[in-house]
Amino acid sequence: MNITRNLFALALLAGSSSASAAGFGDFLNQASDAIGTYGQQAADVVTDKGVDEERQIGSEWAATLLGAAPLWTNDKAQRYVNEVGLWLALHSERPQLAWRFGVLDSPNVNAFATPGGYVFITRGLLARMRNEAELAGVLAHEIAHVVEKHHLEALRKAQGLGLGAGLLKQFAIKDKGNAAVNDRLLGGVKEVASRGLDKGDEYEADRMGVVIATRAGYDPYGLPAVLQTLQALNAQDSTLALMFATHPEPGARLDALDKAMGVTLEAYAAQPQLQPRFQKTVGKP
Amino acid sequence: MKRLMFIAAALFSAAAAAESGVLARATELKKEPFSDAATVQELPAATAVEVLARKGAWMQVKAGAQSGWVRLLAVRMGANAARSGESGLMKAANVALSGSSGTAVATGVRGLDKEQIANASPNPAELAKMDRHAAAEGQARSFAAAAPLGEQTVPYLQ
Repeated sequence: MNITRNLFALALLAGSSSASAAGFGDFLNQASDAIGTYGQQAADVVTDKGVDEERQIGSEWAATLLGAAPLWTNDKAQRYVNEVGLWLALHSERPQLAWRFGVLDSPNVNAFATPGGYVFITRGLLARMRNEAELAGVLAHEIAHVVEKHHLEALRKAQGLGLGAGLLKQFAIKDKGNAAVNDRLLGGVKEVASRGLDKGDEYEADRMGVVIATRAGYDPYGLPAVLQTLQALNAQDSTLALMFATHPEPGARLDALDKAMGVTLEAYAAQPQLQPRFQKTVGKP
Repeated sequence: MKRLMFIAAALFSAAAAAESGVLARATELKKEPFSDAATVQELPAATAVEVLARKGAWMQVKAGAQSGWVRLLAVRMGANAARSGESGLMKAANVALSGSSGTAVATGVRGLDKEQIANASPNPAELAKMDRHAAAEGQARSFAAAAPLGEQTVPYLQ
């Protein structure tokens, strides 16, 4: 895992100082030669244009998830999740995104994010939570994915882009009017949604999530508590299938959090869990 | 109604009482949920525990004849607890959760498995609805103040 993280950091470093080394430029040229026809077409789909375009990909992605399961028709719960979520996001490195949070009307146990600031949690997962700190832990994990742009990276990989295109830190739909391009984007989105992110990205989002929740004033142990709940559920349950297929198993995530957290956040363990507000607002989903 | 509530409460407490776990590593069983509380016993890795309560970083457990508090992160939950997936209680809950019975699809449960994502068409109307639920920054701040939730400066973990 450390190796993965170091490589990731190295790639970011290289990306942020692309003019630095001539040797790296040669490497780049070789890499883009190797991209091939399909990769080149896919490279046209995404380019470095910033937040608006990231948002565009994210909203199309979010609309696709909403095509699989609509929003839960409980406006009070939807507004509540937006308040918890935005408060958390204000303690991330991207507070100014147009953050949107939603509860999907599905009994499946899962949570999702898409680029640009869309975050979803299923009614099935909400039903298994005890308090607002647990909700905050899960939302903060998803916020971390958005902050780190993990989904854009996964989309890039799913579309077969080579290393050269990996230097483009931000992605965009270049050819909006082109139906074939949109289909390709939609295909990539669906592939990532059902195949999941890199396992290393999930561990990173766990480590960041507990800190974001702590910064926002919550008991840091909400996310670990949810992971324990998931661990106690039967892995054969079909409502867990996609979540277990796309994430490291909860025990491994708890092991990693145990190592990373140590006793560092224990000083904040008395911060509120807000069970009454959670129960009152969410009820029994 | 009262009887129903009693049954629900009984089911719930039965499920809660059945929460069992095992220690992932050796850890101290403490008298109170604090690191400087007295140590009741040193528990070795793989000790079976019964979960009684949670409090922040701590979990109240019964380990053999002893009970006390261990660090929550030291505990891994058993997969065979009474809350398990599609046997009985949870299956009934899932039927209830999946909403109106007329919408059943071939896979049995509605929404968000691989197949359903693969077959999904974008739903812009729901996306617009999501926009309408968005919170403004001021709203989030008063929501936090009402709790109250105090902001902290905390660096990311390594």
